[in-house]
Amino acid sequence: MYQKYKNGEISAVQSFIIILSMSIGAGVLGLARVVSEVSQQDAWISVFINGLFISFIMIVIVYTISRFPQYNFLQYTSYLLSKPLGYLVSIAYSVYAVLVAAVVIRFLSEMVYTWLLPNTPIYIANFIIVITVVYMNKSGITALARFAEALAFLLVPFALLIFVGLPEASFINLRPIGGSGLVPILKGTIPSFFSFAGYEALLVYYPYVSDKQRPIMKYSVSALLMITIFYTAAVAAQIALYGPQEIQQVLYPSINYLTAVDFPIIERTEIFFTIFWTFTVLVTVGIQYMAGCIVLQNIFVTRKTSFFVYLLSPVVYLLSLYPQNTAEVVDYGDKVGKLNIFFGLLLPFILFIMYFIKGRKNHYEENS
Amino acid sequence: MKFPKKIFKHPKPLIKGNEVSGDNEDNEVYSKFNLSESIGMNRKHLETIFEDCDDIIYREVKLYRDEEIIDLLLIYTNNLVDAKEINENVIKPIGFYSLANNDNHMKEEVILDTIEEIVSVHAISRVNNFEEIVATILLGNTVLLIEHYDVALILNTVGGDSRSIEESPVENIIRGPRDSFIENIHTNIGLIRQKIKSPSLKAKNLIIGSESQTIVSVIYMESIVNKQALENIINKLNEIQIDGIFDSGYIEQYLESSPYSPFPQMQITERPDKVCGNLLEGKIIILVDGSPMALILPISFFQLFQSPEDYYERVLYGNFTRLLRLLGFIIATSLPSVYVALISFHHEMLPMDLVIDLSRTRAQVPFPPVIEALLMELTIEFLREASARLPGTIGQTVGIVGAIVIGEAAIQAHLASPTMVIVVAITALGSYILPHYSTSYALRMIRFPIILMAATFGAFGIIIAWSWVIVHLCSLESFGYPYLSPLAPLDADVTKDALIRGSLRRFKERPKTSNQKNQTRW
Amino acid sequence: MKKIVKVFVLLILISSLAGCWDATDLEELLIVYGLGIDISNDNPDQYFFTIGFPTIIPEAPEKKHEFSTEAPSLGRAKNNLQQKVYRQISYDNIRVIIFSEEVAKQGIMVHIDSMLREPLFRGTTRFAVAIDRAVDMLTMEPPVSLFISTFLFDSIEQNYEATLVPITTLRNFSHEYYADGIEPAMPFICYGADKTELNVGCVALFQGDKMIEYFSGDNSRAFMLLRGEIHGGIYTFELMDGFVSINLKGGSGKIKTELINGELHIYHDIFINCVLSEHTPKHEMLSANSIKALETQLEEKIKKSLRNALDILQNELKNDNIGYGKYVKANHPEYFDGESWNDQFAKAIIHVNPTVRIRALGVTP
Repeated sequence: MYQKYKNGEISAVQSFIIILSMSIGAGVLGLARVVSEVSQQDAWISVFINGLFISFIMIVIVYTISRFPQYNFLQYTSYLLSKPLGYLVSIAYSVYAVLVAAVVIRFLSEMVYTWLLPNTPIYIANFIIVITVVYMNKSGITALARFAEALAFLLVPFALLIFVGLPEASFINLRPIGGSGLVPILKGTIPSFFSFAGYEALLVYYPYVSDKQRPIMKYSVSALLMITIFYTAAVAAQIALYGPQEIQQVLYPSINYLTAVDFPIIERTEIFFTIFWTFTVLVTVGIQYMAGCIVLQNIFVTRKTSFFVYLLSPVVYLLSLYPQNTAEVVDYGDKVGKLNIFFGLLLPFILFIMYFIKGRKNHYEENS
Repeated sequence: MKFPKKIFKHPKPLIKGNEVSGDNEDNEVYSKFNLSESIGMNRKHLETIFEDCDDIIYREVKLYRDEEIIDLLLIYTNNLVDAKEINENVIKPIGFYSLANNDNHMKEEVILDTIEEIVSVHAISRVNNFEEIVATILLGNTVLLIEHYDVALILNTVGGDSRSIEESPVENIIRGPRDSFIENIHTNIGLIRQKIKSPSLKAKNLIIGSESQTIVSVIYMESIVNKQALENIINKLNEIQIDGIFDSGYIEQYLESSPYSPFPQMQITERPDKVCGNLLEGKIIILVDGSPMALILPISFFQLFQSPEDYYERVLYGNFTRLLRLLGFIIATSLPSVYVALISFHHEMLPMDLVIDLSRTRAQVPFPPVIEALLMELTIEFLREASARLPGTIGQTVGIVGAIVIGEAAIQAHLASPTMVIVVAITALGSYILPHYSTSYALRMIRFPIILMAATFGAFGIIIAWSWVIVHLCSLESFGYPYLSPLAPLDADVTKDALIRGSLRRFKERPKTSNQKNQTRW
Repeated sequence: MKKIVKVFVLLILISSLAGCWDATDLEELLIVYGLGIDISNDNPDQYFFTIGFPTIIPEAPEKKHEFSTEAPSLGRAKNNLQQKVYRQISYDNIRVIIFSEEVAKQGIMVHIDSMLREPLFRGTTRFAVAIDRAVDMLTMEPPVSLFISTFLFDSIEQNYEATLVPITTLRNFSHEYYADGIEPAMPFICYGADKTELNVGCVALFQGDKMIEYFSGDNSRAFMLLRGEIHGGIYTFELMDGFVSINLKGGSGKIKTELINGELHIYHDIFINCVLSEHTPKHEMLSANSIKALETQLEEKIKKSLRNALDILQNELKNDNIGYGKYVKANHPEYFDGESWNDQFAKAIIHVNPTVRIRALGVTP
């Protein structure tokens, strides 16, 4: 306990919590609306299927990178994909990470702007968030992972907020179950994919886990399954309250969901949602931003990670100020979400396939 | 109480303070000077060193043996010795011996042995240079010079006045032992030894401070402690350069790794039972002579909320008080800022009737809520400091009168609203719940930035301010031990002893501070 | 280097304190508790908005006050009203919104859009339709010296518990408006004996966002029973040359649908639990047979009144305010037509079957 963990900087349990906090982020706000646009009242089934699919991707990821316990992101992508491609992918990843961090910061300040502080200029709110994120990251991964752990306990009341609106909900709104048809349900998994985004950060963090002999596969998959259950329940509860038609009229169904019921002492439960959600999103931004900086540090080995943390902060700040209004923010989020398909879906599979080819090649060479 | 002999057999040489004080004549006079055989010359030398130190006493005694008269000289400091011991155990036996007849014609060593036999002091050693003689005289020992010998004897007669062992004024509990440390380090170590009677309890003494020559004792359990941390701490202690140490606070400031953090990285206590509980968990204790406060390191954040009473009471009561303390901490730091945020930013959160009443009372107050909050907080801080300085009953009266009268008057003069006064009062009470007074400083210090952030950004400001505090706590380490253990990094210990206390039967596994080898207690 | 960065950051943080953009003190706000919407007397194509708010200065002559303005929409009205008052108006605590009957008949969605868009607007604001003018209702001084909004809020609550009127909040209304298969309804307030007495016992029925009719008396209770919101209240019947009253204690409804030969049959079972509270005909009730007999008689009476209400809904109004459409949509999605559900509803054959269970008789036999 007196020195940093022996082989790395975060423990396996911390990696579990990192994945958990990463995926619950900005996506949960509008998830129900976006998915039910495609699959009506069966949006929750789409979300559930999507979650299972992503758990499968996670298994692929952990399987592939557990074969390279000592290599960091740059090294094993160069090994598997050849050096120039590896460098390209790494630089692309750090650019992507910075973009995602900027987008999420903007989502957060949009939410703050709409619900909490309508008159504060956006650049001030963004500035404060960026400073907090820089402070979070400058001490390294260990402090960040501990922060995620300390705040992981807020996810429990966050999940309990689902039950708040149930007195007003009627499950008849969810029926007929399966009535939208198989094709729309499967199509609905596409918009919900972006809400889970972030799990691919494990590609970057795995080399820093210190006790790799723990069952990391089990932890990662169970983290994703927990998130799947949480999202499914949240979406189902929201559709039960609103019904598939009204939900199209509500931009942030997760928050408006809490306005449906009166409480005796605390008149507004949205504030609680906002508080828990802000903490969670801060952790998400921190982890995503740190992933980008770590990859940059892998490339330019001579500098410390904190150098990149300071260096990229004005970049993130300016990027988060770029969209001019809410519609542009949503647009921006969509575009970045499309990049996620590459890093979250294609890259793990490519690495997996390349591992098989190269692994088999090695094996073959050994045998002959 | 066994006095460790080490210090008198091989006293640690005076630390660099000597060289630092420059080319003093005194250095050359006594640095490596040895005794001469003439008692007169030795005495003159010592009188030169101790010129104008009128509390150094020179007592001549004569020892008669077979018509030989041997001159002896006792030198000691007046108030540092136990005069009775000198009278009864040194001068008297020599006198008696002189009366008894003795036929022994032996060589010179015998005289030294003889004297060592007749003087019935519990610790004796020999010395031959002035450096050590001066040091031991100032520690309260008596030096016995013998005519025609260049070796002197050091007799342990340390005494002097000190406080008696009584209840600690700042750390009182309802159930549990009531003895507490006093200023004398030997008594303190004795109190610890009374509770842990094991040879593996080690007490390593260092002398720090060039002029004060303070004994600093590092106490630990050999079989349990983490050796690396121990080495680290002893190295750091050896590197301290200072002229005088008067309280354990000096050592604390030299040892801690984040001096600008509002949270303490060591715990201080006056209670030996708390110290012993921590020793058995593998922690290291530092005692400083002249200070009743012992330092416990390394600690975690949750230890600041623990009091030994939690362990002595039954499981339910112990947990109840502990949770109450945590609640008190949270309320004491957040309540004023939540009030300010709700009033200024988030009126929708308040129930309608409360809103109307609040706005009625606030309409009469000219200041914005933030200024009101800061004014009241400042007043409470003044009251606190004032009542701490005033003696006994006056202090209590001022506290009560001040609080009530000032609160009432402020409301009447429309300088504060009643709600604000209530908020500030509850906050003040909440900050007193913490078991030790000095940890409440941390609380008070983080409260003000949180209020300012709440005043500027409302609930968002509170969230950001708390994030900063938590990030700071996460990156803080107390001698390599993460400050927020066992919460982050997550450990199974968290249900055993952090926020809630499990039953004592579950305490079989030691917490992670200790040596990995000796993990089980019984 | 680190120190300079820290100082710089600190300076920036402190400078941001210089302008607290959002801080508005509580006493600088005008907190509106009730909003009323009427048709303007002078310009019939404009609306007349009234807000009621408490005064907070102790020396004020009255405890509450109202302001009104004429405007074509709620947004414009907010602007006009702000010009008339000296503090910033905050609409976030509105408890009750009252529409006058004419406004309701013209359609209320135009006003609700602004309420839905505002994030801090309460989702649990109660809606009600007032007979006559909303402004009269808001300026009324209830004899119990509460604010009129609290009075209305609590009356609606009480009558909801008495199974007489539904509670319609902003969220409810928007849900029932947008969802296919159900049309909104809200409480309808009339005056009692004179203008200082209120009677919150009728239900206003909407088609889309326009009011078409209101139920009163027996019909409104029947409506609540059909909706499945059975709580408390006293239900009186004239039977056997006497009066029988039962204290409702709760209940539920079960709706089943079937398509037989292309025709929609809806089976609605209603369970009513109650306690006997008045029984003036002179015979003892303490036997299973007599209770059963009474139950059967009550069931017939209730069935009649339910049928009455349903007939009005199906034949006269052709409007499904009860929500059968949701069940039909769930069970027969291919038959259900969102656009023309009301016509389908008018053609459906509804079998309503109440079951009364008298649990206790009180302390006399």
